[in-house]
Amino acid sequence: MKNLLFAAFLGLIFTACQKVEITIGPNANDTFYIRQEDASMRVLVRGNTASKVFMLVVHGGPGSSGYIYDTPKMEEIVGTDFALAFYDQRNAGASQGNVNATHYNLGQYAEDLKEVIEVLKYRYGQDISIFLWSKSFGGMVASAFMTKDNYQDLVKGWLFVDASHNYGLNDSLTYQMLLDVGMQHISDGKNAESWESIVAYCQKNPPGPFSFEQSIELNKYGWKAQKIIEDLEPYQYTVIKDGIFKEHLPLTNYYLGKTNAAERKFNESLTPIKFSDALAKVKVPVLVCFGKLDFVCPQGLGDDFLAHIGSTDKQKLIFEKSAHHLEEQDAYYNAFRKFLLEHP
Amino acid sequence: MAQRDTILWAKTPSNLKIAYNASIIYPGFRAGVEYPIKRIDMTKYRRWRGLRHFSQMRYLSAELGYYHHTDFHDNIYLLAGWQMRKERPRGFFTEFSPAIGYSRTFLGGETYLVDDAGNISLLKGAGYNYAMLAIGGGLGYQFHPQTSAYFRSSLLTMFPNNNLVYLRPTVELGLIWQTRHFWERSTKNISKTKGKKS
Repeated sequence: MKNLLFAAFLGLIFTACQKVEITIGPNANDTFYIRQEDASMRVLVRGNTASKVFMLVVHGGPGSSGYIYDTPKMEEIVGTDFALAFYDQRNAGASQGNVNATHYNLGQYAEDLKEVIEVLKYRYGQDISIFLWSKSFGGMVASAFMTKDNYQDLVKGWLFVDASHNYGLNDSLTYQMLLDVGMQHISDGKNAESWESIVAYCQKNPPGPFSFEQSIELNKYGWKAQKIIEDLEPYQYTVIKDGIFKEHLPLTNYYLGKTNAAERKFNESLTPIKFSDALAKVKVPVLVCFGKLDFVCPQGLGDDFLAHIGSTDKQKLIFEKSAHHLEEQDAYYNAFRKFLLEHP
Repeated sequence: MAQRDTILWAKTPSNLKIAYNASIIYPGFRAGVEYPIKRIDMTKYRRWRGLRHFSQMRYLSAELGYYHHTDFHDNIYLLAGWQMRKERPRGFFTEFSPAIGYSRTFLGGETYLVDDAGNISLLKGAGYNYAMLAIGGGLGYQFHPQTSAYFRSSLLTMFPNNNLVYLRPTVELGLIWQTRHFWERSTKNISKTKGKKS
């Protein structure tokens, strides 16, 4: 028995050792963590690291995960020519830690992102180019990062995808879109029954400024609207199911991260934050992509973003058959790839 | 209804156990010792079901567990628990086992630390300490006078994790070895009879 326990301990020591694995090649599959202010954030690197061009995914939420954007299409269309980095923000996805609620603020998220970029450069070379790819709440994180000091010098470009940079504006646009589209459907007699509760909520609550509770409700109605709207490109959202084994998803950590009570407080702290005016200092090339049928982050956010950003190299693309899930996968990913190719 | 209790004291050795411990596809092991506290031999008379015998064993248990979740973490943990086992005459048994303990994780990838000056260093053995609660239930079969096989499903709760808790379901497939004299203890053996013959 003693020998058995000894062998088990030896096995443990070998497997627990953390080897440094840095892949420079066309099919990277690296995993590492960054410890910052009582949180350890996981970073997955996929795709072609030999290209020295990285698209760094800043996920939504708060409380989602980077790896939900690591779809086969993403790897095929973007990852063949470029490297993809998916990091999990603190207390989200596969990130780990004990108690760090005092660091639950957007400024800290921006600092975390800066350190992810510094470690990517440390691992893969100071000469790599990094493009930020921000989605949904990730737009708030990326905006906090890009508008702070000279942090934007660390990146070569910014892809702003179905993202938000202005919480209050986001709510107002969602409210107006729900009301307009809902009333149109009711008057046309198209799926009127489903739209009635949405329109009734909007009519009962005057347009902004909205409380945090109203903001949560608008977000829920936004998701509901996307389930009943017509003309969406059919897209099966199976990335979690597909990744359970392939990506070793820590499912309970992921789902607990999405329902973290401390996160609600953090989410509430975001309501007064808007980066519209601060965006004037951002000069890097930007690509703005929005789904025309996105009720969660409506395309009006992209218009405001473009109107305020200081960049001269800026493009906006609207995807007619998409909502908030990049439903037109090929079109979105080809647009990302084209933008990276155009900015060598 | 009649009830008769007989109390005897008897030397009872401890059990040793070892198991393959996994969370879906993530491998690990669990090994420990069960220190006997009490045995209740129960005889029940039921009008329709006849005579039934079973034994209830109570142990204090100490276990060392480990699992490896690729790219997430390695977790080594120690648990102290209360083992409740109900044994049937034909060798089948069921068990329930709450436990408390300590867990230490090791992150599933190299871990970097960036200081305020922007210097980057590699952290050795990066991971976290957690308090742990575990609850498990299972069943088994004694296929040899001294050896039993068992299956148990447990839920590990680690806290504080990300300001909250971390939940980890595990399953075990293992062996229990009833030793002859290892860590013997004088235990209270109670014989109880419930009901009456009709």
